[in-house]
Amino acid sequence: MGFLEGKIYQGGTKSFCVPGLNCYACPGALGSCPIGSLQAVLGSREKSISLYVSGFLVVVGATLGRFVCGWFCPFGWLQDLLHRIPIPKTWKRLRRLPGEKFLSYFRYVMLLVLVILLPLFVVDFIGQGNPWFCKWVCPSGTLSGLFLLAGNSSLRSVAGWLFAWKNLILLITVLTSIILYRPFCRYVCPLGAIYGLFNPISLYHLEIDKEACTSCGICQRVCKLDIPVYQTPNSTACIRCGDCIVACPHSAIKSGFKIKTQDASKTASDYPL
Amino acid sequence: MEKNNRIHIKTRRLITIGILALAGIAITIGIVQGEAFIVLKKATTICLECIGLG
Repeated sequence: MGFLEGKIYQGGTKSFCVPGLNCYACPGALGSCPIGSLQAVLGSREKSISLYVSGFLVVVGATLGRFVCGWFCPFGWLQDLLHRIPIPKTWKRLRRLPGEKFLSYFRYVMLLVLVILLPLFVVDFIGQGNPWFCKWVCPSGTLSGLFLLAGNSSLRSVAGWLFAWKNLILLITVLTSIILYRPFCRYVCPLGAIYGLFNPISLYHLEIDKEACTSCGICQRVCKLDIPVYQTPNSTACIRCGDCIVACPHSAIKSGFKIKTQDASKTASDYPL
Repeated sequence: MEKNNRIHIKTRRLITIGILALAGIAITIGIVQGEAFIVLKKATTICLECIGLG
């Protein structure tokens, strides 16, 4: 209904965060975006450090890692869909951008500068900080805003150059998503940056059965993020989509919370032919 | 080698569970301090910054 009326949901469930990047300005949102909430608490007059939101991010990260990005994030899903749009045969889909390694660090810059430092330290005369990432970058919020503006004429009347800037970022994200898999998740998303840090230690994880793996590299070839899974199964960039697990001809990649690997103490004679 | 690997996995698991426990405590303290209310307050008013209006 919120989509038709140009209104947002205002119930109590919005005091809880959702795991993915889902802007609370979206008329369909029933929970809060953790990145928006983190900035809201960091920038508020009353609090300076957010134990509630950071604790939530740690719980989700330490349990699932970037599995959330691959399976629960609405904006990630949108980029997934955009990447399925057929392109002319003369065009070429890119597997990575030049300088991929350095570009991938950009999401940590976003997290540190726009999500944490600026809302915390750049405050107005009453001590209130701005949600810098939401205000200047987040295309998910802009997309939500389009739904709101479509049904709300008073909001439409105040749209200015900031709205134009954010729509430009959204347009760039949408167009890039068609030729490059999940550009926002790879280079910009601060939520993915946080969850990615937990990938190597999260309870849900990937494991390589070293006896079965032949390092053929098929896992890397099918990985849309071009990750050498056989070398770094829990890379901070991995969104745990599971494509590599399905593609592995030797079933050497396992995933789960508790992975049972073959007991190495057994010899070949223990396994009847 | 396999034994070392098992110990490594077990240690990693214990560290993660420790982190989860600390995070649980942080969430509880945060709720007691009223952070959930700040989140609710922000999330139930239209975020003009998010949609690019303010």
